Amino acid sequence: MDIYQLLRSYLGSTLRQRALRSPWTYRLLKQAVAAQKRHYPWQAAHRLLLNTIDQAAAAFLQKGPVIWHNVFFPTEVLYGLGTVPFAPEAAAVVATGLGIAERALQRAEGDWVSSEACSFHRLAHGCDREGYFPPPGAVVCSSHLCDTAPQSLAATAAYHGVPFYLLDVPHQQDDTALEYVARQLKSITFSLVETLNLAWDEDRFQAALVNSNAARERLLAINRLRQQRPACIRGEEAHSFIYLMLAGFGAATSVEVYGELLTELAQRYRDQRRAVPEEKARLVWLHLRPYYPNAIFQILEQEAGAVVVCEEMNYVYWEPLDPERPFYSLAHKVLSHHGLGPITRRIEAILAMVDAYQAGGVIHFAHWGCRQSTAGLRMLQDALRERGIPFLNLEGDCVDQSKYAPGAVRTRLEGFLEMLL
Amino acid sequence: MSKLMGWLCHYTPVEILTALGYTPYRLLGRKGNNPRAATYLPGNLCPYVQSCLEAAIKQELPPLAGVVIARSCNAMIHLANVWPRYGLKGKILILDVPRRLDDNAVFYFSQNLRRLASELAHSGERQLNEERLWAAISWWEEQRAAWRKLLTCRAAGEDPPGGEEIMDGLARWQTPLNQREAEKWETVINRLARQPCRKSARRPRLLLSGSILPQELIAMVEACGGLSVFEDSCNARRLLLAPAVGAEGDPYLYLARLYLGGPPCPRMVNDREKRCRYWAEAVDRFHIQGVIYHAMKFCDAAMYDFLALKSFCEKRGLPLLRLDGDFSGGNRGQWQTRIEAFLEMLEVR
Repeated sequence: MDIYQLLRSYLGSTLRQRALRSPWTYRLLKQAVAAQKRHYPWQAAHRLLLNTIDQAAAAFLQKGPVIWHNVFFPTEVLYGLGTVPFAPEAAAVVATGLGIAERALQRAEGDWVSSEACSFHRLAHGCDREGYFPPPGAVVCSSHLCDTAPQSLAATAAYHGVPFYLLDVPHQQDDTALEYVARQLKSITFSLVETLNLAWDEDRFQAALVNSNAARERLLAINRLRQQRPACIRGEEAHSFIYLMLAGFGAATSVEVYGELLTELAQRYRDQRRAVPEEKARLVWLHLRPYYPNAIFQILEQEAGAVVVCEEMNYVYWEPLDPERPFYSLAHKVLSHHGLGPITRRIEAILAMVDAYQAGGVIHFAHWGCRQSTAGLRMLQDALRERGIPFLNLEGDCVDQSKYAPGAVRTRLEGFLEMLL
Repeated sequence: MSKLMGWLCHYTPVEILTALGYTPYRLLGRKGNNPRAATYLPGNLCPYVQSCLEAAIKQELPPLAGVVIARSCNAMIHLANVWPRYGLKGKILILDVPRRLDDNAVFYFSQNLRRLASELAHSGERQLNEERLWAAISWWEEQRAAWRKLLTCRAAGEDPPGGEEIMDGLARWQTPLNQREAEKWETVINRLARQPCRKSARRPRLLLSGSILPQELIAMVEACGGLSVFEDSCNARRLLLAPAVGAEGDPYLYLARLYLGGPPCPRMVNDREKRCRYWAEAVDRFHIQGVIYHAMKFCDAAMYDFLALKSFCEKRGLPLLRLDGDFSGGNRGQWQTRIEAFLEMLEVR
C-alpha cells in the first residue's frame, strides 16, 4: 500500500486540512501501516514510518509545545526539553509526496516569496499559510549552512506571533566560537523553558544527549558496514533514513530505528544479500535527492549497477556528546559540521568518504536555490579531478516536480555512467 | 608596496585598516557580465560578489595590498573560498560577523576584530596601538557625522542634493586611491553641499532600499522625475553608523557594538523590528511618498527583507515598487517603464 496514496485520499476529501488535526487520521494510518509490515523491505523503514506518524500526530494534535526548527539546529535541545520538534523543511518533503506541493508553491508565489529562493522553504511557506502545518509555539533556527532558513523561519515566527530564537553559528572552530555558540544554546534552552512554561528536567535533557550518542554509535556501525563490498542496501533505500539526521537526534525512537537497521544490515552482509545483482560501481551522493517520483536511482542502481553507497547527509561529522557538559558538547557538534568554514573542509570530508567507501564516482544533486551546497562545486570538482574521480553535478529541484526533466536527467546520467563503467 | 586594502561588506571595520596605515578601498563591483567569475561560482549566486570577483580576475582593481572578506552571508563565504585561488594575490583576511546583537555577540565580534587587527598588523608591529585605533575611530566618526548632516538636510524638504549626486559622492568616499585622497573627504562633502540643486523638491520623495543599490538605478529614478531622499543600502545610508551608546574602554568592544548596532542589514534576522523602526523613522522624517525596493537577484536576505518591507508599506499605505536587478547594467528598459508608471501613480495620488 502507498502511504501517500492513503493520505492523499484524506486530504483530497472535503475534510482537507482538518483531517490533519483529527486523531482518527493517525490511528487509521498507523493501523494501515502496521498491517503492511511484512511488505516493507526494511523493517527499520517500517519502524521509522510508524515513529514519524506518531511525531506528526503529536505535532498536529498539539500534544505538547510544538517547536519549529531548521534541519541543522541540534534537536537534542528540543527532545531534552520534552517538546514536539517540527522541521518544516522535512515536512515539505512529505507535502511533495502528498501531491500538495504545486498548490503550496503557488501560494508562496502569491505571497511574493521569490522563486529564486530555496523551494523547500517556499513549499514550507505555502503549506504553513494554507494550514497544512501545525502552528508553532516557538521557532528556533541555526544560521549555519543556509541563509534562507533563518529568514524564512523568522518570517514564520512573525506570522504566527511566536518567539524566534536564532543560533548564530560562526565559521571558525576555535575556543571563542565554541564559547559563543555554547552560551547561545544555553540561553535559547532556558528562554524556551521560560516562554513556553516548560518544566526543566536535567535528567531528561541529559538523556537526550545519551540517546544522541547511542544513535550516533549505531549510525557509525551502519556506515562501517556500508563501506564493505558488495553493497547490501541501495542508496535509494538508505536515503529515507536521512530524516533522522535532520530531525531525530536526541529521540529514543531514533536509537531504535538505527538499531533495527544495523541488525538487518548486518544480517544481510552475513547472508551476502546484495543490493543489486551485479555491483559495477560505487558512488558517493552529495546533498539531497528529489523526493517526487523520478527515475534517477532506477537508472543508476537497478539498470546500471552503480550503487550509491554513501550519502553526505549520513556522514557522522561530530564527536560523542558529553551529557555532563551538554551545551559545550552540542556547540562542538554544531561547529564540527564539515560544511562550515573554508570549502577545503568539505572537500577533505568528501575525499575521506570516497576513500572509506571505495567509491569510484561522486554525484552532487544541485538543488535549485541551495547556494550553500552548489557555490563551492568548482573547487570540489578540481579536487576530484586531481584524484581522477569522475564527478557529476546533476541540477534539479528536490521538491518541485515541475523542474524535473526526465529525458535530460537520463542523458546526463548515462553519459556519466559511460565514463564510470 | 600598495597601502590600499580592499573590503566588501559594510560590517568591515575600516577603522582598523586606517589605524594600521592602510587606505580602505571598497570593492563596488563593475558594470557588465561576469563570464570568468561564472566559471568559478554558480550563476545563481549574488551578482555583486560575482562582479567583484570578475573585476579581480580581470585586474580591473587598483593594486591592493590585500582584501578583507567578511563572512556575512553565503555569497561572501563562497567568495572567501574562491578568492585566494582565482582572485587576487596579496593578504586575504577573513572576518566572521555575528548575525545578532547582544552582549555575547558583541564580545565574540570584538575578539574577531582583535584577531583581524593582529593578522593585518605589519611585521615587527604585532600589536596595534590602541591610541591609534581610537584616533582612527574618531576620524571615521567625524566623516560619518558630516555625511549624516549633509543627508539629513534632505529631511527638512530643503532643496537637497539629489540622490544621484549623493551616491556618486559616497562611491568616491569609499574608493580613495591613496591616503591623500582619503583625507580629502571634506572636499567631497562640501562640494556636494554647495552644488546648486537642479531638482525640484516638489518631485515625489522616495525611499530606495535594497542590499546594495546600483548608482544607475538612482540616476534613472531621478531622470524619470522622482527624488531619492533616503537610500537604505550597504553602499549608502547603512554606512553612516551613529556612535555606539556607552563609552567602552576597549576599542574593539566599541567597534563591535558600533557595527553590530548600526542600521541593520537584512541579514540580521533578529533585528527585524529594529529594521521596521528604521524604515518608519525614515518615512516620517524624510516625508517619503513612495518606496522602491531593489531586489538583488539571488540574495536570500533581500528576498525576505522585501516581504517585511511590503508588510510595512501596506500598514503605512505607502506605494511600493519592486525592481529585480543583477548588478550588470541590464534590465534598464524594463526598469524605466516600471519606474515611470510608478511615479505617474504617485503624482496622481
